[in-house]
Amino acid sequence: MQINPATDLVVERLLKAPPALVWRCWADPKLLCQWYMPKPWTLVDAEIELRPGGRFYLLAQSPDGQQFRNEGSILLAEPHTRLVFTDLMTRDYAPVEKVSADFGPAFTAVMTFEPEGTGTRYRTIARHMSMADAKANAEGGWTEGSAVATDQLDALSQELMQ
Amino acid sequence: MTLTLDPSRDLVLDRLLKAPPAKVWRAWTEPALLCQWFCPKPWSVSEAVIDLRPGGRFFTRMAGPEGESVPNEGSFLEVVPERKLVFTDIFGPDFAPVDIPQSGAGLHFAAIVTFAPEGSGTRYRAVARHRSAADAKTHDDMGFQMGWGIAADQLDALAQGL
Repeated sequence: MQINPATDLVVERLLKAPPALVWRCWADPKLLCQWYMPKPWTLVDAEIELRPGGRFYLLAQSPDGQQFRNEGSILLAEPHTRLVFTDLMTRDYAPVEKVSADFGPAFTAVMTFEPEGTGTRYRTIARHMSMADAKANAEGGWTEGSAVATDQLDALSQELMQ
Repeated sequence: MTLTLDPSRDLVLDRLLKAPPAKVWRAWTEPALLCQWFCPKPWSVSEAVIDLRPGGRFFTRMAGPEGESVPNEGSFLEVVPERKLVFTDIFGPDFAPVDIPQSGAGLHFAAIVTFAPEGSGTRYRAVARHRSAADAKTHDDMGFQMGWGIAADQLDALAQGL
């Protein structure tokens, strides 16, 4: 896949756990809630229907108790390999009218899980429709937040190894 | 899987075609065949690119009787051979969101096309999903039913001859 630096934001990391366990942290809503939001934010509810067009729903909570819901859709779910979701569509490819949600401008996220040594080369690419949207999410802290969340994912997936 | 329709935002074409799903699928997915039926005459498709995979490019160039040339740029989201095809102009290749629709329709939509065996023929259904009721109405007023209906007749005639 070709990266477009103008509209794509990328976080890449070598995680210690193998792809199957990193995948589990994504695919199991209970696990997802434990790492997805950078602390002290939390994810209080999630639904992830792992099929093309399946529902991807998140309810996040800020440190002061405010809740933000995000309704989106899974576009591709290749176990242990690749996961794609978007909030430009809801379940069964219904395009959303308001493409700027509580979480900032809508985007598509492409996650890849590649075996490397005994771990996982893990990459998240957030694809935006415009440079302005990418800039808004970058300034809104997407990259820093994702880096923290990825640390949390690394820790949780390692716990699953024990 | 049953699709829950939203009558305010979805446009539906439902036809029983004489040709079986395997032939209808071929006519849909081979560029040289697609060019022969995809546009209601006297318009035609002069060029088609079909990268048949989730995130693959779907491009057509429509040619009008007065020399018009209208490019349509989009991508496939789901490909289930002989059963289901989902495409959209909301994303370009590899799920990158598109800001301004690059299509003759001039609006963002997703199309879910299904091919179900019925008798010796095909229950052919196309659901066009829109961002808003206003977009659906615009598409309807542009002649969605007639355009897709004539194209479906052309598709059936071509597929029967395969």
